Amino acid sequence: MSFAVFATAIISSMLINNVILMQFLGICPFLGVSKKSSSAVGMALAVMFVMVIASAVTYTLYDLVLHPYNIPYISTIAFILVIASLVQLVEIVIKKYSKSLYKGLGIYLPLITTNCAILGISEANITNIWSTTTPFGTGLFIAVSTAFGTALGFGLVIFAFSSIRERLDAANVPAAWKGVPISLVVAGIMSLAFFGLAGII
Amino acid sequence: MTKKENFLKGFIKENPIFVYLLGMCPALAVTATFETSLGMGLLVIFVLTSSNIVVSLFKNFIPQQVRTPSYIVIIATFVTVVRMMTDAYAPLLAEALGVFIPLIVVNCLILGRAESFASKNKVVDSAIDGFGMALGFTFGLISIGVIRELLATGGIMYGDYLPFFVDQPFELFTFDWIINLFVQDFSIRDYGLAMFALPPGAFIALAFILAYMQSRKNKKLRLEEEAKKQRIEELKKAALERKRQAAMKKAGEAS
Amino acid sequence: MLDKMKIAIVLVVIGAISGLTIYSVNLLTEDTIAQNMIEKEQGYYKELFFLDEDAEVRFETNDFEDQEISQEIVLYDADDQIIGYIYKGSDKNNYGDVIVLLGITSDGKISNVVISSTTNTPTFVKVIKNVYLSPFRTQDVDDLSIDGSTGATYTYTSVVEIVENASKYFLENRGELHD
Repeated sequence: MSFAVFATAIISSMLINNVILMQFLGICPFLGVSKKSSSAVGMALAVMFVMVIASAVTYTLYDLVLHPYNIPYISTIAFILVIASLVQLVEIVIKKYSKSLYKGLGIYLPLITTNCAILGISEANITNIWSTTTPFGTGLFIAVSTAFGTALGFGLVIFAFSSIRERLDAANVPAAWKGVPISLVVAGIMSLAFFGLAGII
Repeated sequence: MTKKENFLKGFIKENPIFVYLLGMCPALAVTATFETSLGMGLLVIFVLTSSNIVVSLFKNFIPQQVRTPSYIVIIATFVTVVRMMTDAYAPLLAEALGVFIPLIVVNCLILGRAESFASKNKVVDSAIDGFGMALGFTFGLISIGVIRELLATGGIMYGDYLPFFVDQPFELFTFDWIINLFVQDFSIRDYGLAMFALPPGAFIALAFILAYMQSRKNKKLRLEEEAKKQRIEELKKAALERKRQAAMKKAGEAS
Repeated sequence: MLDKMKIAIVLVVIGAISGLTIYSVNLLTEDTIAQNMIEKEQGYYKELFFLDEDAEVRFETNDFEDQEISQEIVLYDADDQIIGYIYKGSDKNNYGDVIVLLGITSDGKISNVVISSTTNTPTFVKVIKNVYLSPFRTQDVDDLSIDGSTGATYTYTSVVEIVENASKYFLENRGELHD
């Protein structure tokens, strides 16, 4: 549990193994909510909020309940239920205690349940980080840092992409490529750029 | 809508990937080869058909307020079943698809069909709808997969991940024999565009397909517009003709 | 109140049905999955020494806690002759885990190197498996020559590290066999 572990987890999950461009998780919000950069930022914040909490909860659940009772095979169903109820809970809590935050994040929260990045990171944490020998605290720490880094990477890419898309609206694009196709080409080029980062650690 | 139309709508007209942009994550992530796309498609066919049947069977029992959680539980059950089956009988496919097997749960296509079709229609119709939509999804995955694999390796392999019907991996299709008619000792494999097997290629290959679909749609719209214009023109001409004749008649009467 | 009771009962019934389904499918597939894992592992052992798939082998496993190598497996053939030693090591790079198996024959030559499990990018791993693992074959463990120019990928770096650790362990502990 040190800063080095934290930094490595963050940089690798944010830049090198970027959640959208390398792992293809969370493509739906990436294409859906990236028309304006303000909504992209709102979505990114909401994802970060839920992703960090969900990773911590699902990792704990797996380590302390599913594995000891020998039922790891129901992880999918358990995780999706935990995430769905967590999103509801977060929504209620935010609504009660912070009106301004709710105004900013509120409309994005219900969309997050079906955002595959959240469930994907929870599952990936189990396959990549969890093992019988890793102590609970260390594993949880790495899982949460990975989730934080992943959410940062998500925010970075979705913000950059939405800024490009705002400019793209004014550009003279051939009729056949207008809209989603040209956005996908942009995403492909961004993905190539991120590919070049492989190997910096 | 007849049963046949219900079945066929998923292929082109309401194709989940190309028209509705649903399930984009697997459409980009598992389509590096033909075989993984086919495998993913088979899993989705099973999950979507059976979840549609079950949702439709229980539609009167499930209270309105807890609709979505119940659907999620039903879908997640089938996904878990599928996950264990793949682990047991096609372990290499399970390894290749990895996290995208559990992620079928959050595929918007499946929950969307349960909400918009299965919860309102009869069991048989829901089954046909689920099967047809899933086939359309598979068709979309496979067309991306074939294009990517052809560009990346110059051939299509079968047998690596799906160990059914074959003992050894073999090439379903390759450009080699055509080229070997003209040049000896040449393997297209050495000249593959490896980018198309990697993430950037996924985005670009899908972009090309969507652009093609859009250009077709645009062409159709343009043709329709032209036809409409032509019709209006004809109507105008006819009206003018009538007017002229009426005027002639009037002139004739006057004289 | 009655409505809420009804909702609760329906949810419990759905949960129970799904739980039972999953439990029964698990019973059905559990053995096959475990069998698959074992077969896969043994398949790697045979691949390491280029044995036939149906060759009969026996092996002894030593687990290490404090070494850089996690497992040593001694492989015997049907006549109880030692075929070779297998070393299993894992490395964490930032694409996830790589588990590498290394087979060393009793005269101290590397027989083969196999990547048994990895969460790294499959396409890279394919290239590494096809091209970069074969130069390790027939090399002497006390005189490794490693092609540094291909070390650009993470997976390969991890493989090299594990191979070096395993060779070191072999020289230190089984070194008497070498000469």
